[in-house]
Amino acid sequence: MLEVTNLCKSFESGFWRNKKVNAVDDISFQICEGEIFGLIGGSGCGKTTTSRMIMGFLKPDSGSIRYNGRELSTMKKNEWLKMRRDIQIVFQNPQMTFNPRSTVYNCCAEPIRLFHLAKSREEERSRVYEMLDSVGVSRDQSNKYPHEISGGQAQRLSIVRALSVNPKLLICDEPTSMLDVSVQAQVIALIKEKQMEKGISILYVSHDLDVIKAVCQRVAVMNNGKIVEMGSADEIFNRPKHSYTQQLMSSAI
Amino acid sequence: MDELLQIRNLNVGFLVKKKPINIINQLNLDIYKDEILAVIGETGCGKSVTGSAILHLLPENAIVSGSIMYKGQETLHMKDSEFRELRGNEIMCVPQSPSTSLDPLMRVGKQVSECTLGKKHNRTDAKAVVKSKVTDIFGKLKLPRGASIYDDFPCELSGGMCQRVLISMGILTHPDLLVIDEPTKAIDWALRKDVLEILSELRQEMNCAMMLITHDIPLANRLADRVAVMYAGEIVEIGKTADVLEHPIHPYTQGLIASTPSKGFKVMKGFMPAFSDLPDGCRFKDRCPYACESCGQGTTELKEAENNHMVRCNRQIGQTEEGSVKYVGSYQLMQELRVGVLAK
Repeated sequence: MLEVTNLCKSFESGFWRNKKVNAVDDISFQICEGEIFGLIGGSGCGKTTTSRMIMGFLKPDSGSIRYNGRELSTMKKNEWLKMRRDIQIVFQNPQMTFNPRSTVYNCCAEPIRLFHLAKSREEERSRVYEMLDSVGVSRDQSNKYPHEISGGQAQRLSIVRALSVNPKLLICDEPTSMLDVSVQAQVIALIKEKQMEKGISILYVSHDLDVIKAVCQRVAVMNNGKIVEMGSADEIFNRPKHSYTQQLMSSAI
Repeated sequence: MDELLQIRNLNVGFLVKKKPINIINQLNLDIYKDEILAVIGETGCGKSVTGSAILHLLPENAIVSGSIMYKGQETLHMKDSEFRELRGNEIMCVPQSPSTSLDPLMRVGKQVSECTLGKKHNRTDAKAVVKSKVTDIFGKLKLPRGASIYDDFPCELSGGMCQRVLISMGILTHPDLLVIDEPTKAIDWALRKDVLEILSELRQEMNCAMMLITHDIPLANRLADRVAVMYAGEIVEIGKTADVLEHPIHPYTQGLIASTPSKGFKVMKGFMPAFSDLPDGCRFKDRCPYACESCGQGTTELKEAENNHMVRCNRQIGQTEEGSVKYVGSYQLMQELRVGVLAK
């Protein structure tokens, strides 16, 4: 479904642009339909850069990203807008995903308005309330501003908001690293439930091995911009071959 | 054991839109000399507020009552100027979120040494002495480039390094009590292990009591001597680490442990109530799988279930014929209930 081949991205820094960092260095992987694919690695290994390139926020230096046969890396802005119905993302920081100047209701109604999913105001309202109910946020909280609701509520809302346009591919960029265990369990149960219901594919980016182990079917391990090991979750966690993966596994508490 | 810190009947509330909202309700807590007490619970349950109350760092709209005794001395109603002599010398803290807790315009070495240079009785210390002390600590915490990091700005360091700078700030004066707020939040897997190692080394070297505020249950399990579980501003269970984390009695603790990834992500039903409309009686009753009518009335007290293992629940304690205390209610039933909730 999603095919990433030989993807590269480097950043230049320094006064004369003389320092070059290869953030993502020649990586390739595929995500099949209805699969949860995990991407793990320490901080600064290029996980987020990869997910940003897939979403089109960053232009890759070379390599291709193909979604159902269509090339994403050279796509224009107006084409991307249509593509966003198929590919959605959940970010790390739940409070930052919402526009701080508009209410929770307007934030949730935005995708519906953007893609003309509702015919009237009443239908829009009922859809938003449905979204709020499905994640246990009470209706009177819809007039609050994003900073007034808790991190867990915001993260659950950002997941249902991403799913409200019925995407085929969802990218989760460390959705639970800012949350605590009980809320993390709620968020992951929500992701798994929606995945079973709608059969979407998920790219799950995280550094939390326990979560990846519980959620993903296939896993890729990244280090310094390269994929060092890829395989089924069972293989990676029980029989790691690469030294970096072994080191990562041994750092579990 | 000697009590280093005694908290009795602590109440903390905040004035929100001129209405007082009670957050911490009748909190009793002891921290003994040289022990690590972990306080766990979900976000917004009042863990950090408790820490701030000990440190006198609550915002101005807070209403505090009760008593906090430090080494037999009442600190809660102390003047700020008097308390400042304690805080920074004997009581220290390691604040939350390393990226926002450091002054971005000040070199990290100076920030760390600031707390010793500012004190009256230390003013004679030559700057060079303090500097060598700070570099020593940086070296001990395995910060790369030891001495030269003294002149770096926080933005030049990574998150894990900032966390270690904050820890070095906390231990510089060899405090007797260290309040550590969420040391592993949003931190990388490998760094989390480093932090764990640093803290367990410190504990062997420094002989100081620590109050570890966290929601990282494996971390608490490895470090702490005792664990207190908080829910909605109350301590619901407190006892030795092995007792609380391996044989939890309160349904909230059981649910919290079952929701960790290694125990299989069992989701507790419902959400924590808002502090502005708490239910009557037991604060957990709406989410409790065993809730009965008596849970809705009166207040539930902390009772001793086993040796030094206190639980705030009406249900769990049944007196058997021998007079010993027995845990009633089957864990199996609880599991089935939870699976049922998950399936829905």
